[in-house]
Amino acid sequence: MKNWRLVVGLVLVAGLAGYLARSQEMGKKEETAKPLPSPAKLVLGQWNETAGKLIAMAEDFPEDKYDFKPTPAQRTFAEQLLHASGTTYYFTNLANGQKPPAEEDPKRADFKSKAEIVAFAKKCFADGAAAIQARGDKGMSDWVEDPGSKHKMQVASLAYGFIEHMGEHYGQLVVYYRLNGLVPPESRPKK
Amino acid sequence: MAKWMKLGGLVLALGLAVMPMLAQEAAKKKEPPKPAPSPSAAVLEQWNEIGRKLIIISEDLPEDKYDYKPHADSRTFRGVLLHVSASMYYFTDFAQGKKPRYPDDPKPADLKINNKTDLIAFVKQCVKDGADVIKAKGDNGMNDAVDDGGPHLDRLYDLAYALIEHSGEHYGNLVVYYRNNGMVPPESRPKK
Repeated sequence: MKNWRLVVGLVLVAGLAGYLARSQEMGKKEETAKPLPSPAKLVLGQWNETAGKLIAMAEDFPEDKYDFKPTPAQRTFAEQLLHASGTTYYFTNLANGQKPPAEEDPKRADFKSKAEIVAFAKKCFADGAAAIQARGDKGMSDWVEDPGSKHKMQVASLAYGFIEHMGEHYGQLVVYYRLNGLVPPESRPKK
Repeated sequence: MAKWMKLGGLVLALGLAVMPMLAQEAAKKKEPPKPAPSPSAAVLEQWNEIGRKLIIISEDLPEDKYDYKPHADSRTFRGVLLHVSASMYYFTDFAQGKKPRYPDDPKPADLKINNKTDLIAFVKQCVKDGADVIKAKGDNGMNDAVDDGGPHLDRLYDLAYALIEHSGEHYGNLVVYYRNNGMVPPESRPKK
């Protein structure tokens, strides 16, 4: 009887130990199930997310509607893309230790086709992404200074300022889509 | 150029003039550079900047336009303002360890929003609640990791910036809504 009790006791202890070990293992798995990306990866993720939505629109929108604008005071679809992508160099250049661009928007007339505008937008966003990657985690906290005003801001905050700016123009283009009776790519059922 | 100055205004308002603007060059030289903002102060400035633009629209928009929408599948003016404001709690509530209080777009009746005054108050409250959390968290607290339901954890910094970008998208919607109604968005009007 004593032995029986001992065996049961040992089994219980072993079982409990095993259970605790498994619980800890599961806890570890839960902890590691969702990683926390590094600061640069988080910024890059949001940069690429918004840029990706703009690129999807640039590729998707019919070329014969590229010069559509809802009212005369607004930019055309093409001009919105050129502006949203071209202004990213006010981030990219500073992040790369270069002077900001001299001009705001590339001229529509300099682009002969939709393909050229798509390529331009892709290049702008890729250059910004490359600057974030080159700066790396430590570089996200580096300070950049506007050569004119001498105002300072950290690279990450500057990047996010331009991500928000890209978002504003993406939001405008969503309505351009709807006004043309088209569904924006992001609003279509996922395949 | 107008848009460029708008963008410059945004960045300047954030404490950073990223680009030289000839028209303002003289004024800039007279002003001493602003002190570099701390990381939480920088995100707070961007939060409040897009919040300010949304609040101004809520105050400026004629009430008889609230139900305008450019397409049957689009949100109305009121719907966009409710959505963008309520969505801010995806930062504000997660940052406080709570689930977002508005997982879906709230209905005006549920919020007891009966008129323009109520809508303005709601937008202001949503912006303020997020700003208060950013201030309370401070530089260290904004580094905390949060599970916001995405595929990976986020730092509160990045979650706040994601909601700022989201606010920007819907602010962009509203800009076109304004133009379609023959109105000039407040930010595009000549500065007094």
